[in-house]
Amino acid sequence: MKRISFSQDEKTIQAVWDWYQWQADLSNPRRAELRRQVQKGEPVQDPMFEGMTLDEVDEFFAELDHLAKFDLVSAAEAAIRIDFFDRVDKRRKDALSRHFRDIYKGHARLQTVRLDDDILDAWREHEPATRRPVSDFKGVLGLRHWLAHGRYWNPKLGRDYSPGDVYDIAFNLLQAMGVQ
Amino acid sequence: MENHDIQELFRAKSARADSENIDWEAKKKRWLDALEHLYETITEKYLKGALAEKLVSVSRDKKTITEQFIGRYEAPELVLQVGDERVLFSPKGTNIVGATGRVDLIGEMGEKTLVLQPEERWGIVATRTPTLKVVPFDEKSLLAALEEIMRQ
Repeated sequence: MKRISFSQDEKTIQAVWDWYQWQADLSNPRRAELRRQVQKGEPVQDPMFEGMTLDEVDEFFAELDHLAKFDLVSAAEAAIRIDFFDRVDKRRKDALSRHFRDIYKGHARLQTVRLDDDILDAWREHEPATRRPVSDFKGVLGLRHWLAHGRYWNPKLGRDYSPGDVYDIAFNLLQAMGVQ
Repeated sequence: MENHDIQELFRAKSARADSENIDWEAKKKRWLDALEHLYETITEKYLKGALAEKLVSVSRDKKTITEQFIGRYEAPELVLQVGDERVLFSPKGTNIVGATGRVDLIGEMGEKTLVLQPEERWGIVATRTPTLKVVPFDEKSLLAALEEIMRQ
């Protein structure tokens, strides 16, 4: 397998969360002001929102949440994949690292190693403490897939995810894995 | 403002809400009246000639709308049938940014937005970019909208 050229551009889930909160603090007052103006029937001099229903205003501002959820899952994936490569590269002797090397040998390119069926399933098999966090994280992978591919179908996610839920799920998984 | 307990916080909130009391039922009634007036204007004025020549048929339908603060209610839709082509005036609600009501005009090739402005004037969104342009809704702007949203 060709060695991967790491960019060092990956973000931590904490950095994504901090960015999201900062953006939300900026946009929430605008959303509240719009809602107040609609209730009072006041004119709004902003063509972006003119003619929107309150539900559409809410959807508009929910885009930030979608972006944050997508970025949180992606940041967690980067951390998990870097750890995968690190375990392969350092030739550790534990069962999980050996399993990872077997997966690694079966792929021509690192990018074709599957996060879900290869890496996460190996974690679940060898580290029982990660079973629940892996299962929760696999749930949000469905959300990430839906966001990444343009949301053109009705996803069956089983539950709603707020950005805070996604952060907690990613945090719990990385902590159970001992991955930063 | 600093609140020392939950009661105090809620007391301050409800005092403010009382002073800004909005009669949502009256707002809904004004909106439904304006819709009725719009549909009457369209059928009895703008489409009068076309109806007389039987070039178009007009019918009503009902739509359930759910709006924040108002809840669920039924509003009329206006359906135009021109040959095998259908055009729908579909109300969206009264809690609208910068307007007191919105109706979507839906054809097979696109949609246009009608907004209810102060003094019960209906406008139609002509362009959104580079700047928002709302023109008065009249026979001329209805024609332009129909040409845009119906099959060529």
